[in-house]
Amino acid sequence: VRLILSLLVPALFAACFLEDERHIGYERDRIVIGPVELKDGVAYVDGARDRVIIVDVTGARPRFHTVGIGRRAIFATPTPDKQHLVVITRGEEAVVEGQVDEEPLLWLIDTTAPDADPLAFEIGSPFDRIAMASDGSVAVTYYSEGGFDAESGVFRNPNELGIVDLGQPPSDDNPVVRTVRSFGSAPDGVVLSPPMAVPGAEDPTPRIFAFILSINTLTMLDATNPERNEVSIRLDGAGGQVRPRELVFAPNTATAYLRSDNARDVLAIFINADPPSAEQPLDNDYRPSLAELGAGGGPSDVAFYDDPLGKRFVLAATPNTREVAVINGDTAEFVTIPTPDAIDRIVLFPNDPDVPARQALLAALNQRVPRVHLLSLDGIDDELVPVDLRTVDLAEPVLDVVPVPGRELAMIIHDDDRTVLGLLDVAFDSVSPLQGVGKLDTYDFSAGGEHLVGATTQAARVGFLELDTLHPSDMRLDDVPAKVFALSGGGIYIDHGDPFGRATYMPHAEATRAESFALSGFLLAELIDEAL
Amino acid sequence: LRSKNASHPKEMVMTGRIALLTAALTLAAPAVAAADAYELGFVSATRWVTSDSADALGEDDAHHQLGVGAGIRLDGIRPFGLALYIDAEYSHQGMTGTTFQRIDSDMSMHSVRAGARLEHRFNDWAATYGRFSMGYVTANLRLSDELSNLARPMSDRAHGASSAIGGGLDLSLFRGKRFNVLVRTELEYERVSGLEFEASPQRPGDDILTIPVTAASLGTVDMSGFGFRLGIVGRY
Repeated sequence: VRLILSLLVPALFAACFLEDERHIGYERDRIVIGPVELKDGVAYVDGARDRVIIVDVTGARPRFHTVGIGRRAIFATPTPDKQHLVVITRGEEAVVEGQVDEEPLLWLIDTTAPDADPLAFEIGSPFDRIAMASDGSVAVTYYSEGGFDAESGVFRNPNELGIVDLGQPPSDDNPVVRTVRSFGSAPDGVVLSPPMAVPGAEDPTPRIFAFILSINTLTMLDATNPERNEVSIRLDGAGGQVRPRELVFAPNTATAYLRSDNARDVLAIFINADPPSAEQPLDNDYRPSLAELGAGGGPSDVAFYDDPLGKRFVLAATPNTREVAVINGDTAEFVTIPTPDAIDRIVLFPNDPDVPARQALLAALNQRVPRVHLLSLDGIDDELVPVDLRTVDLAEPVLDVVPVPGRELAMIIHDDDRTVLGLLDVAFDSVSPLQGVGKLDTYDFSAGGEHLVGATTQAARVGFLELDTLHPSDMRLDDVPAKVFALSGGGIYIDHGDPFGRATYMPHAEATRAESFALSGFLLAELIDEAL
Repeated sequence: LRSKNASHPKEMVMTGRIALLTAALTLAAPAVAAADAYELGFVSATRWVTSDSADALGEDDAHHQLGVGAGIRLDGIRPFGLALYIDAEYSHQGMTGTTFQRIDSDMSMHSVRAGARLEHRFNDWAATYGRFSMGYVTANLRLSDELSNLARPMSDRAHGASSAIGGGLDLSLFRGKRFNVLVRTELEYERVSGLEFEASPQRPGDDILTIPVTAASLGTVDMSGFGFRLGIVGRY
């Protein structure tokens, strides 16, 4: 009996200590960000496993790559060329065993070389939004209105920004974290200009300007030289609150045009050279000069274009006065064109900033009228040329207008459910009505503008509309779609919204089911093998 | 046995086949060995699986196992003067868990193994033994997310090998002329390898044509670990 007890009791005692603590990380909440469209694929961010999953469609078969990032991813956006992914991770404070202290970081991931180590920039504060320059060289991190990190911190400074030079490696000087001057309001958003050279400045290098939008205030910051002083522009609303809403840029003349709620006119901001003070090392080498361009009635939409002679024009729709103002951007002279409806949407054609616009499509979306208008822009400021404003009557009210990339076509959406559509040919003023079988929940245009790709979450199908012939076709899917992407390489990626990762990839728009791939479980790839 | 989209009814059929095979071996045993040298047993075990890969599927390290086995003493062979038994066992082990607050996992593992046991008898009432066995393991894994109405459950079957070494004690509860009943306690270590899973979606229906699936690998789960086994054995 003693022998039995001497063997059994230690064995049972040992067994009691065989329990091994599971890593605390497995108790995290799982939040998946994405899909985010890339040049040759899509990306997802798994906030529980701290990784980016890239679905790469460059090969004969789609492949999956994973890139490790930091804790608590909160926001992800691609660079404008869609070759990099920028992610903010808020970090972690080690409270229990298994957790590791980690600072908030901004990650720059080269999605074309997923095996390369991503760059991690210490941004100092747990921001939750990113504004990106159009050339992808600079990113500005900031807080959204509800972006305070409830899990950590005592104070929040909503006017703090992180300016990251994405072309340089992380260092003590990159990023620059700073607080912009405030007049009592917090930023509504941040908009970055395209690279603009300041005319007459000693430094001719094109640079990025950050515009911070706050109530009654517009703040300018030279994001290429972020240590320099900011410039605050007070917006006077004659007692009312002026909320800046939209900025459009004319980079060749270093000009920005601002549309604000409760402002009567469009504000033009010309960035002019102004030599810095020798006594103030952080002084700027520019000074903004302002001009109110007489829209005259509270603009609801603005657009600008350069005519073939290089003359800059700003179009401002003022629904209060039922006019569209055409403003000479150089002289601020303007003409107003009465419109039959209260126009609140302007779309220029050709819809390409590098090509002079010839026509403007004007729509009154809030008014929900069954018509749109086409305004010819040729000789628009010539008093001898009569205004050419044509009305295109439609069968249904207009709820939205979407330009088709690369074509002089506009998709007209007629109802809330997006079941009734029309395709407006701007060149011929013709409209082709289209009927959808369900709400058009997601759509995209193929890179060359050959196809409209659309889907509804009510049916396991993806539909195609050949825009040359308006011939519709579709393909049955194995699951209902949640989001479609027409990738730049010609492939069609259909995400099914599955938190485990489920998608259908068609190598081209005419691909059959046999030529397509159903991708499964890629968000759980190596879940078992790769421990936290 | 290999089927990427195995359903539970098929699994039950296979389990039944294994049980029948075990029973047939046991019934055949009296024909080749002396009387009072055969045993049939039922075992309940707790296995502590502490690998990181198993942590990814569930929070509990301890998993319950049930098994049935049979053995026969080879009277002509007595290595080191000890009694030699050869035995076979079928067991089933279940494992459930939740990961990241919402990924529910459900794994069932079936194993068949055969081995040898060397027994030293102290007296009529107590004996100790050491054992080694090897076998085959098949496991079904199902992952689901009940919080998402867009999540389609994933399921896959994997196959692997197992080997185990252990030692224990037999205590007689009842001794008759032709039949003995023993309580068996055992501590063992089992190594299970090769259980590799893919994230294959459950099919919408057997007769529905689907697009060829490219499934991501979930990885290989290591279900090795120490186990404490308690069983009832009948000898005749």
